[in-house]
Amino acid sequence: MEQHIAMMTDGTTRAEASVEVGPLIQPDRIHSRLYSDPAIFAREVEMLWERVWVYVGHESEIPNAGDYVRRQIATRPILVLRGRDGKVCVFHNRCRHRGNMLCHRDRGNAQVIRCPYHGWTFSSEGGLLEPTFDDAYEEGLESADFALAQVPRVDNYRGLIFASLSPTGISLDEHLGQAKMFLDLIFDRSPVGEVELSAGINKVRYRGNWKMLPENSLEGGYHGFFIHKFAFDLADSRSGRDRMDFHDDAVWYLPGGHMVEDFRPVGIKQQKTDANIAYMKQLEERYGAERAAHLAPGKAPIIFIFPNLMYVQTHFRHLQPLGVDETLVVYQPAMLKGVPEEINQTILRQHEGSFGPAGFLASDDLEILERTQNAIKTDGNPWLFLGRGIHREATFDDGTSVGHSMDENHIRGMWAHYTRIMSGDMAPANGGAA
Amino acid sequence: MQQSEKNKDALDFSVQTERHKCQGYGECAKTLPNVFSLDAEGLVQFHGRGDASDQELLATARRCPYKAIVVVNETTKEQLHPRVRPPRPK
Repeated sequence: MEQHIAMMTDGTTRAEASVEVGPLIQPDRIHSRLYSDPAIFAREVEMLWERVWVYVGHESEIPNAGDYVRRQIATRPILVLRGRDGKVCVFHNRCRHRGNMLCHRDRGNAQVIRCPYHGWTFSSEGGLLEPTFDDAYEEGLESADFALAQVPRVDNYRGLIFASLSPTGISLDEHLGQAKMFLDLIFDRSPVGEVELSAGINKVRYRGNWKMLPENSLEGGYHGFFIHKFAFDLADSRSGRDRMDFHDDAVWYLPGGHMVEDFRPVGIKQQKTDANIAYMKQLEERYGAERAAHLAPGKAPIIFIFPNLMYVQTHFRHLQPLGVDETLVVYQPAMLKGVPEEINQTILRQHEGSFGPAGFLASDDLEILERTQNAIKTDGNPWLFLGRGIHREATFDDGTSVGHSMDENHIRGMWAHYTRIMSGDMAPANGGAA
Repeated sequence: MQQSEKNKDALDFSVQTERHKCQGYGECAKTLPNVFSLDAEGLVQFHGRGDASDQELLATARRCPYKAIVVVNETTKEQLHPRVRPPRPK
């Protein structure tokens, strides 16, 4: 029993987590404890997840008053809710009465939020409506004294909703910085500049550390040759393209911990279907020929917004760490508003084939992450090597770096940012070349 | 015994339902099925008191967790349930 309690304490609280990660992160290598030590995870919750801007949902998921989605910021259950005034609020998902999880459905619409435990009800703005059988409270209860607790900071960029558990810190605008330009390349693929996460959702849990997912998601050009060989060969045989064509892409590290795989330099031949021709015409009319060329199908960047949001090929993907060695991944296809229906159908079919429940790519990736999590338990050299392209890494004064396809400058940049956050430095940039 | 018999026949209390407060738990419909029911939306409907006594109505109103049933003594004009609280001192 004692041992059981000790394990719980290690894994889920901040107690005794005075862990210095600096020595575990070297310029070209990182220590496997960063993925496996419960004390480091507890430290991450305290220093990182409770402080930084975390993606919690998209406006299109909750279009109407009373719409909500249930999410977590690391291990903290939250509720993202649109009030009657149209404003999006993020509440801690716990009843003010006895602490029960207030809302347990993933999503829905509720004019009144009712706790399943003792039936207390709250308005969609969070105020206490009815403490049940309240004759037992002699003077009654003040609604304001029992209002749901709000996550202190909420902001959004182009419908992407971010929340911060910290009342102070840099603005979302500062946090996103240059990454906004790449997010624009996703949203502007719609001729009206809007994306809707309306086509459904698939969720997977993997038994691995959360940091493995952004590393994996942003280096597909490298591991793709190996773990996705079957899927890529199949795709190439159908399309007549050569996978090597994609390897003129660039990888960026952006201040704030963000990573980008940039396909703008890649020459991609477009299929001349009627829908594609009509779609390209829409984009050219809306944005001009030069920008439209960067928005064409196949050119969308792969993006990681530190610490938990990704855009990959067809979808927005976010992660919620559940513990040091367990992570929830949520995949939501991004539908482009205002395009010919066939364009969105193509995105959906590609999404199903790659990332759906029977898709090739996601299952390859998550299987590899679980194997890695398992293998790093063994003794031996504990270091994981991240030295690709370090000799040719170009770093700018603001900390941005750029590398060739398959280089790892962006991943090294993310780890350097992680080190700063874990040491309490919340500034978005390096403040100079590393 | 005599008091109870008297209450059984008394018809002094009026009932009003506040549908916006109802959460559809159905305690009322379970207790006095001829008086209350839940409609297609799962919310309270009042069909008139029928042969329910004052005390039965009051007891049923008190079973509602959300105070969606208001009972007034029409003779004294006193609201019996939910209890009217004096405003809290500021």
